Amino acid sequence: MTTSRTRPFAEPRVSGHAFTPDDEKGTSGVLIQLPDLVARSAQRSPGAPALTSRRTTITYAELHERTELAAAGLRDLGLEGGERLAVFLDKRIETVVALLGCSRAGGVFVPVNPVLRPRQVRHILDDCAVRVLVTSTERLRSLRTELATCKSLSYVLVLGDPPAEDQDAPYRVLAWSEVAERASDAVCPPTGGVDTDVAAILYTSGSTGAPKGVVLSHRNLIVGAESVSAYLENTSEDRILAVLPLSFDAGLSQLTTGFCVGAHVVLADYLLPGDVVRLCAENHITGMVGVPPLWIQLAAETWPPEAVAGMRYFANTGGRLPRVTLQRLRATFPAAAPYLMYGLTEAFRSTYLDPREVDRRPDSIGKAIPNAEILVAREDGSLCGPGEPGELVHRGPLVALGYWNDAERTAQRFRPPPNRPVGLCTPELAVWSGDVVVRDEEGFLFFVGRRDDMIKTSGYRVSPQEIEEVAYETGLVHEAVALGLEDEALGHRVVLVVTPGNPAGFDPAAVTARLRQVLPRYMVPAEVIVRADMPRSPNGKLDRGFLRHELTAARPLHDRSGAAT
Amino acid sequence: MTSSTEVSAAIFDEVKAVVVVTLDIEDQAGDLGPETELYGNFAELDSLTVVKLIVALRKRFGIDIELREIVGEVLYTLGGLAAFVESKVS
Repeated sequence: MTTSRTRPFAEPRVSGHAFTPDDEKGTSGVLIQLPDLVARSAQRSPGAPALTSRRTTITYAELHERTELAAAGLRDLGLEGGERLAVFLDKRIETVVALLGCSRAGGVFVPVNPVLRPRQVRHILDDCAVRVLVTSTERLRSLRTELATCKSLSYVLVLGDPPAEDQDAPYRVLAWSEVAERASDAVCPPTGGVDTDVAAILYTSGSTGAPKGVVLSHRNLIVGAESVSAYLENTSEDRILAVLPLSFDAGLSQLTTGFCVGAHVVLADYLLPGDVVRLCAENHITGMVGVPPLWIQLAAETWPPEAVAGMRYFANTGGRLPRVTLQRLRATFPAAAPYLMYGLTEAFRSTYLDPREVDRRPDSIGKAIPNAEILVAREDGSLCGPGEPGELVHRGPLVALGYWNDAERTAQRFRPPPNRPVGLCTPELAVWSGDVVVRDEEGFLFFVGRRDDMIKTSGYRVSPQEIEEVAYETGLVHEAVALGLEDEALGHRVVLVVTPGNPAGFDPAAVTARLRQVLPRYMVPAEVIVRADMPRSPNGKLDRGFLRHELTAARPLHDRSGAAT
Repeated sequence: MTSSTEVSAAIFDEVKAVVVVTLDIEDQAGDLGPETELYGNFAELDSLTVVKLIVALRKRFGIDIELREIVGEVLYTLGGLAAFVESKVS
């Protein structure tokens, strides 16, 4: 990047209202907007590496500078405070700069999962009325038909050369570099915003119904960054591999927890698990967060010493890690602390298990992360006692601002917490997660299941995870999902869907036989269904809803929707 | 790595044809050049289609490609993939 500026923080050219000069930001210690995390790290150690993508590494000073330039460019383009900018790209330096620059300009960024198809992208753009889209020339080509009738879109900014002008397109196409990488003295004036302003909208890959946009404030993101980096004990010495999609709460958290402490974040997209191993070795990675399907693949890889040597922690989120996988990973990374975490996008992140407790409670999701309170509530809203399953309720500054433009579903999930003192006259909203958990005598939480996924069979409530865990222990299956399908006699009939550990000579009856030895009869699957691969959500998690849909697809639609309570 | 410009046009066109069919992106065929980025840039290229792509390249060129060889830079650009295939053919 070239720049003619001699000072990193020039005077804003817009005058007429008083504000703190930019170079004092960070020293005041008040973090208001997400990009303040980067500004603070740039102030403390400008020359420290901030971000690596493929063969390129930039420092914190450069990341800060590029953020300011992008923000100024987006303002010049006419992006108003609160307007949405979507980023539909794989993980690149520009992807991160676009998110930060939008934020710095006062806009709301919408990271779109790069694996989504044009129709799903279009849904997101329409749903939150995106004004500016940042993407690549190739991706724009595949989106063109869908975008032709997108009403809200004014600009598409592309990496590389813009394609020949499409006269009929209702939006203008410009090169990202022309808008966001111009060397000039223009600086984006402070927005004057507060940390409760909207920062981002993350679309959750709901398996039922259209994706919902979870609205996050700057405060949600900053508190999340501070809280998570504190318990992971991230420092400026860390090199974090960011493998999860940035459209996912835990994915965005990979960036924020790194920037918060001035760590080096290495962006990674992978096609094959071997890519992850290679990146860990090349970049001397010290920590990474993954989801169970990825960890199951990584546990089966051969890890050379140089990929393992620096590893300080490995963290799991997005579902329970099978115990056999956890054991293999601990053997692979003997010096690394295993973090078992739980979070829901509606409250960014929620719980983690102290690594020192993993041997005693390998199935626990731990306790609340710093600055979150986790309650377990009965259906009537009162609090559960120890050992009593109930709904996980998260309260505190991580609670999101609701679903974008969806009052009905917001009212279902975002409700007052059970323990609000009666004398307080203002409302408080907590997230009612829909997840069933149980707390033990010492306060450790255990995930029982999604309320909608719980199997009710022969009068018992069964957690699918309990059956899956035993299936993994047989060593015969690669992946396993237990489902309860409607059954007149039993309530639910237990069905186990598996991918074989060894496709040649796999016998589902052998799995059933082993399960029968360990599980009570009502938990033994009535049927074991073998698949070559498991459906995944765009975030890489196993897609239970898709399997359920597939297995019940023979029945009429109205019947199914009525059964999902 | 071999620079993509050194790849023979014949091999490049054949690799491109295999990629276009395997990823089902025929509608974009006319826009693809050696510098076109693959990895990360086409949603069609994922952990399943990459296996299909390797199988298709093996068949088309009668070469031996291991899954492990297809890491990182080989798939950064179409030209890079063509160069990799060419190195296997010769």
